[in-house]
Amino acid sequence: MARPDLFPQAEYVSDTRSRLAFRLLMIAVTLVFLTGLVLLSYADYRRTAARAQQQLGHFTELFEQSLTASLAVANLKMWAVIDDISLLPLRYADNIDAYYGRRLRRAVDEIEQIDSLLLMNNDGTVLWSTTEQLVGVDLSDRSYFQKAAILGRDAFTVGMPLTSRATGRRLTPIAWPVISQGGETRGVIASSLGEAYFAELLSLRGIGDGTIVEIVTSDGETAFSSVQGDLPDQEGLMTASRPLPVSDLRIDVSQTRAAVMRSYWERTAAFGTIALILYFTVLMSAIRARAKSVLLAEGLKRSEHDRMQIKAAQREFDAIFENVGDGIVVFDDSGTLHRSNLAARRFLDASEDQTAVRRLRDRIPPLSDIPNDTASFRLHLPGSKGDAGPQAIQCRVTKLNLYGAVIAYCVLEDTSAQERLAETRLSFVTSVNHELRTPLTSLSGALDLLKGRFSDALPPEALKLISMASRNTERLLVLVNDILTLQAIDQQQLSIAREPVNLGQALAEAAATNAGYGVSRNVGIAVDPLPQGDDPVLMLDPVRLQQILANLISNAVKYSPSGGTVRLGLETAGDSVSLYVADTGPGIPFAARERLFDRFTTPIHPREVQASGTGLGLAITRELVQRHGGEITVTSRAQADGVRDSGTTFHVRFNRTDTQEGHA
Amino acid sequence: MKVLFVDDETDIRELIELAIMTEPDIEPTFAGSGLEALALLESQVFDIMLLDVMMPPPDGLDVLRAARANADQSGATIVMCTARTSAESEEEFRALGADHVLHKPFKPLKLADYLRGLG
Repeated sequence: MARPDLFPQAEYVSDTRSRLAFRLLMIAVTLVFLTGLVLLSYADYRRTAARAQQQLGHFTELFEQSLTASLAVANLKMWAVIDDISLLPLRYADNIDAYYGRRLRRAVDEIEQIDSLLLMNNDGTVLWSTTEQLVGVDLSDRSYFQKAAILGRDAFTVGMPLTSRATGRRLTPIAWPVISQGGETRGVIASSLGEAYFAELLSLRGIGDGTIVEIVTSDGETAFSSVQGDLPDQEGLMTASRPLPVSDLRIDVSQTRAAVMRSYWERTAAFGTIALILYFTVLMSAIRARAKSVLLAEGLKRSEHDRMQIKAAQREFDAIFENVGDGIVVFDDSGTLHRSNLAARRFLDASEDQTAVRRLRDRIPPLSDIPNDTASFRLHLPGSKGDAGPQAIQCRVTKLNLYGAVIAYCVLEDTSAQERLAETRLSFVTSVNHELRTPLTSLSGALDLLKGRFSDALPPEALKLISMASRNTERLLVLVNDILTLQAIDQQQLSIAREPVNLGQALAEAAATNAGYGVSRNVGIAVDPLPQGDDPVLMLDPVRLQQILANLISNAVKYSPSGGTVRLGLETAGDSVSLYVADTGPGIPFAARERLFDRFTTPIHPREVQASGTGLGLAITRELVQRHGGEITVTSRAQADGVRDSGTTFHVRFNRTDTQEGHA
Repeated sequence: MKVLFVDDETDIRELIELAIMTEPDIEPTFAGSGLEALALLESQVFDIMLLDVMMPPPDGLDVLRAARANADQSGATIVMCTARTSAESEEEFRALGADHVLHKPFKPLKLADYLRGLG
């Protein structure tokens, strides 16, 4: 049975809503995560940039200090040289080399900051130089000469970078005034800071790749650059500047932004990758967990749904179980299962299952003694107060083997009503019988008397009418008798009084008894010769046997053609003894043989062939034969089936062993 | 022989009377009810009694009991006349003292011979 879905799935709408909420949440979390990632990266970028800037500042300061310190040392040393060469005025070039040449050359060797020297008088004329071709050249137009000429003691000047006239090298001039300890200015001594000097200074500082150091003049002229050739684009550079205190020079330390931020990008990429991997792992887990929880929730919901369906079915079953008309009691041997319904409790006058089971078990054999499958018991129960008197209960016990336990399933059926009904029916039939037979007795008796006593006084037409009335009275009696016989059979009240019966004599008696009926229809009744040397005597009810034969003979006579003969006979074959009644009538159509023995069956033959009868004769005959343990069969050749020499033979077969003399 | 016929059906009584009125050796007495029969049992002695079973009380069985309880009627042959055919009821009748059972409908022309056969 298809059970209707009592709980439609409307509640699943909330599910799609929660799925949408979950998606929005996931998107929001992802956005927050990405924003956080960007903000962190940006803050890191800013910090990294600031630190790089600071580092550049440190570098610059370091350079400036190194440079300043180096120049201060050079200054001290140079003033020692100046003190040595300023004792006398500078007048003659020849004299100078003779007087100071050694001292000056030693100075170039000793003072590492300088790589050359030129000594000029107050007019700007070179008096001595490490580069000999400059001697005599007038350098008074040079700005470092003009600046140095007006300086006081212990001071020096660094000039604008220029290209050397002698060597063509790029150099930065440095110049001191030559002032005697007496304060007398005698000229200017100049040198240059070559690229080699700066490079050495830088290399001492351990400046790495990617760092660009430039010494720049105030008008933007580059005195020194650590990079040969073109500088990278100014935009891609990060620069810290610091002015040199001693001159117009400024020191710039730059690093390409790419170099500064490389570590940042590397870090960010690594960090970002790890963060994203972690995030997506978590995200996927969340989604998977959510999917699982949704499945779980759906499963729960479905199981809840199923549970409610089961509950509804259970309630339905309980209602049916409780209110079914028959009593039902279910119990097992161990006493854990006891269930009964309303009818059963009423039959057993119990208010609860356990009492009902106990009372029932008191009245039936122990479970182990009850045969398997089904057993029936008749119980007479006192009945509860509401019922009228004791109840006849039919108890059908079915033993079931369920999960290793034996369970008894008992159906209690109130048969009181059935029995009362049967009694009523019996008394009804009995009284109908009486009420029918009494007038029939008078009627047939009166007709018999009329015919027997007064036939001489009656005209032939009256006699004919009396015969007709008499025949129909007989027919009515046969019908009443047939109905009574069948009722006795149905009520199991038909008694079979067995006694030894000689079958040959029984056949002769039947032939004689029914001869009158045959004569009235112009049909002979003949008994075939009995088997030689076999005169069977069986234990049968002689009255019933005559009834069987009379039924078969009267049928045979009815259907025999006028002038025909009904043959009776006996056949033996081993244990089996058969009586037969054969006619040469129209035969029974093959299709009708199945229902031949049914009560009040539809006519076997067409209207013009069908003989009148009660419609019960063969049904009764079969019942009677079967009550003797015998068997009735029919063989027939029917005109309706296209046969010319038609006829019907009924065989009534008994078993000698079943009906031996002495067999009760 | 004196025969008592008890039947509440007038037709049956008349039919029997017609059937045996030609038999000089049978002296019939008729009773139309159980009460009438009981009264006759007190005043006369019968050789044969033919009792209808189904009558308004007292019925044939009551008359049977009364007849068997009556010492004067101890020589009587009692036939229960009934439309019932079951073996059970026959046994019941015999247990109460009936000698024979005659099933209705019977042939009135054969009744006299039947009665003589009992005698």
